[in-house]
Amino acid sequence: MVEKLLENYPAFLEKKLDELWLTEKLEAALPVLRCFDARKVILTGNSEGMAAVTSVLGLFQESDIFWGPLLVSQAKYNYGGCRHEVGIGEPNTPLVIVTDLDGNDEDAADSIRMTSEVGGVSLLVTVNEHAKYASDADYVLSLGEVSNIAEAYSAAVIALTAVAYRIGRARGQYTEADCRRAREMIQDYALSVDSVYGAIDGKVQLFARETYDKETFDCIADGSAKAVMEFSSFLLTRYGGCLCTRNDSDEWCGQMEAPVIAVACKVSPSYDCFREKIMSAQSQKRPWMIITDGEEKDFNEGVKLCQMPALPKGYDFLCALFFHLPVVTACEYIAEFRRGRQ
Amino acid sequence: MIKKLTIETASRQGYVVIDSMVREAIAESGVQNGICVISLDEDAGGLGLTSTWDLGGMDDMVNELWRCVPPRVTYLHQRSPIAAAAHTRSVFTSCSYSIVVKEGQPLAGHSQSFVLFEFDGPETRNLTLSVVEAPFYYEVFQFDSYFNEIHDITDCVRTAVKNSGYKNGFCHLTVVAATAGIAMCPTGSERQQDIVEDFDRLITTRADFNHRESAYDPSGHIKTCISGTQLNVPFENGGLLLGEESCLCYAEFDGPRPRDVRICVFKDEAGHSIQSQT
Repeated sequence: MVEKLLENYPAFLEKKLDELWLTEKLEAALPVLRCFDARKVILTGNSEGMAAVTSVLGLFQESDIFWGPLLVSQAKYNYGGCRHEVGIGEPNTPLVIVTDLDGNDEDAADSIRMTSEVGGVSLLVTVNEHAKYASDADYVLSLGEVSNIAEAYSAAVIALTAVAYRIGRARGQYTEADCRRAREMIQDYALSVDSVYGAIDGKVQLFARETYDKETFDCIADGSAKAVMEFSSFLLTRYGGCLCTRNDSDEWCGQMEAPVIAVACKVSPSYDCFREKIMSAQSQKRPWMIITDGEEKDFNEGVKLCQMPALPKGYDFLCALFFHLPVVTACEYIAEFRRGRQ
Repeated sequence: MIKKLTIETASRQGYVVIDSMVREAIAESGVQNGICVISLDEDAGGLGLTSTWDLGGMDDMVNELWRCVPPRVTYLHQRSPIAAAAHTRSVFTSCSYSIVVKEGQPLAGHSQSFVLFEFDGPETRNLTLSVVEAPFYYEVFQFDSYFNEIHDITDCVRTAVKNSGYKNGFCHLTVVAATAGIAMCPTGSERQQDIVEDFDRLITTRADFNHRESAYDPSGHIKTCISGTQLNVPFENGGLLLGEESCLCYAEFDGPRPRDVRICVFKDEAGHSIQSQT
């Protein structure tokens, strides 16, 4: 199990922003010509890589950088008949962003090879720039030094957000001020999360105490919170050996007895639907961890929220960069309680 | 006196007329005779001293600079093609201006206003104005000009320096017009006409501008913004410090017109030279 996954998160983010946010390193990893050539962007990855690419889908959609960006799992991309969506034809010359954090995934290698075969351009986002298949990628964006998987995920979210802003800036959708403001938003939000995290920690500890001996979890989220759901289920599976189901609030029916990790952004159009689901499911007396920037009055009396600061309007991608923190902390506590049991 | 101004631009490309801000700063300084240096601390905007009475003409200027320097994907600078093109346009228009202050007013013509150009906005632009009291000797050289003429004014400037009686210092030359420029050029009419022709090829004289005072006038405004209307030249022991094949030229982008060049001669009070070699 894991020890401390994230120490001094604002400082870590600052370091990664300095390395990746519209830097020469990023410009070299994705030249202007490629930003213009691509008529479509396809985002793919496995497990934690999938979580990271999920975080920027909304950014690519909302900023109108490309027509219809496609988020697709690596298995579907490689083996699920996606070739026609990538190859020559309309929309052609796609930019395929493959995120493989440790650089050892054979599926990621296959994605890059297939992209090359059908005439697309691949960008590999990884911690391991010396991965044996990295030379097959057209471009590689290295995430720099990270200590563990939580840091790798956060670095990848920063990198992918920077890629979206880099493409938007090159193509004219974003101004220099927009890019600067986005970076400031990340820094400011990091500080505001840091200031409220003490209050969240107690609730996370309580949830971990209730659930450390459980083997199954339900994870639910909508929209831009889905990246957090993906990463949470990956963490619980990889480090807790737990089975996790993942659902959106509409699909989830709450028939199991598993503890629930629910993530919701107030700006999400499905926030009301999410609240209704949570309130009706509360009667099941299952352990809950609700991570949201909503307010306590939005939910039933007595619901204990991991209440994050309100997301600034237009920057809901920040959810992917911060709302996973309670789950990371929960994993640390679960590990601690399990050791105590032993 | 140094005054700092912050200006928020509102669009990707455009302009803000800053004439009243410049005049206010000069008035605040209390300087009666001297020089004002206006400087922009960014490289994706520009400064101009041009006619703003027809804002259609200002739109022409911004559009024409975009046409001359469109964003292209082959720039070596990889941040953004829009930023890279903005840098070139910024060099075209210049990020720094020096203007003489005479009797408490900037030495500008009635058709000239100070303008801040935005080439990659919206953005916050920072302007610094430095106004310094420095008495000067003043002369006006008058002449008639014709369209696309390059008028060598070197001898007139030499005469003004001689008349000033100063040994060392610098001359500030000003054209108080919005369709004529001033530049240091090579000697020889052929070389000078080549320059004029290149200006005309870059900003062609044509009929599709928004500003329609005459066929020559709108392109003349744009050419003037690129060539500039101010020039500073040092002199030592009463002689202009010019290269053997350099001369000071007035360039007419409209005309025929009666024109003048204002020559302000500033004295170097210290009056000594320091030779350095690199």
